[in-house]
Amino acid sequence: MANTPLHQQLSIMKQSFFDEGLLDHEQVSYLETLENEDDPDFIENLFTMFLRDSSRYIDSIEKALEATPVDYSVMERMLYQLKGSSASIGASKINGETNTLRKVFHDGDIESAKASLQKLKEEHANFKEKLVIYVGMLKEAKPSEY
Amino acid sequence: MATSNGSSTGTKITALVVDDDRVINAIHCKRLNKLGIENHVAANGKEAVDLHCSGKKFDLILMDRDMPIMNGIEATRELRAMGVRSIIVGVSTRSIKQEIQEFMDSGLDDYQEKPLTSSKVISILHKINCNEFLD
Repeated sequence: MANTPLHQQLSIMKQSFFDEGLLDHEQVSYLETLENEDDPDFIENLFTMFLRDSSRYIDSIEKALEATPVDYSVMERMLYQLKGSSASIGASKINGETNTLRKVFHDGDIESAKASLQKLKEEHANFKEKLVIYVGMLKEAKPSEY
Repeated sequence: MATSNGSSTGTKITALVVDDDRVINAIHCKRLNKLGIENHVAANGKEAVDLHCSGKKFDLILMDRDMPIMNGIEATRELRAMGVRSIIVGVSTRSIKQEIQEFMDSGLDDYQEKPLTSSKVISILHKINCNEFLD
């Protein structure tokens, strides 16, 4: 297994995701067991897919919350989608913020829900920024041949 | 390692993953694939029902609860009404007992909370293996 500076950086970056609570160690380890020689890009593709889909979900949530009246059914569906999706890839902070937003929304406080959504958007933007870099490094680190 | 292709007498288990989230589908399919299971995907309950109407059969169905067009509860009821005897496992983020019971009552064999871990999948597979021996 290569131990180039890039691999070391990848290791450090991955650890920082865990230390900062952005990714759940156990869930990521589980995903890594699914990767193999037949599909070495599985994790990168999964992360990329998640970033794209979660951005869409958050956009839908925002539109639904801003609508008059608030679009409850879209909110419900999008919140559950995001909750499930984020848990599946171990995106702990996003999952946490989604749960908070869900709770506030169910309590009926729309203004607090909007504030909670802003927090979720910030977490998402932060996560996306870091994950995009990580995925880029993963691609770079893929050996074409030893 | 399974080499034959039949689903009722062959050794290869077939599964249908029903979820409108493609991240979840990708993970479930990969997990099942690694265990030698042949996978199909449906994006909602109606697609799952349509697949069965066209004559497809599966040993295992992983059914999400919240989906557009036709949700997991409706789809499970529909499939059972059609006489589908596959193992149907509900997979969802819902954790309230009442909601879980409602889903179970629609005809599930089992319910697992997302995310689906290796040990949960293996316990599901044991159910299928037991069923195969009984058949």
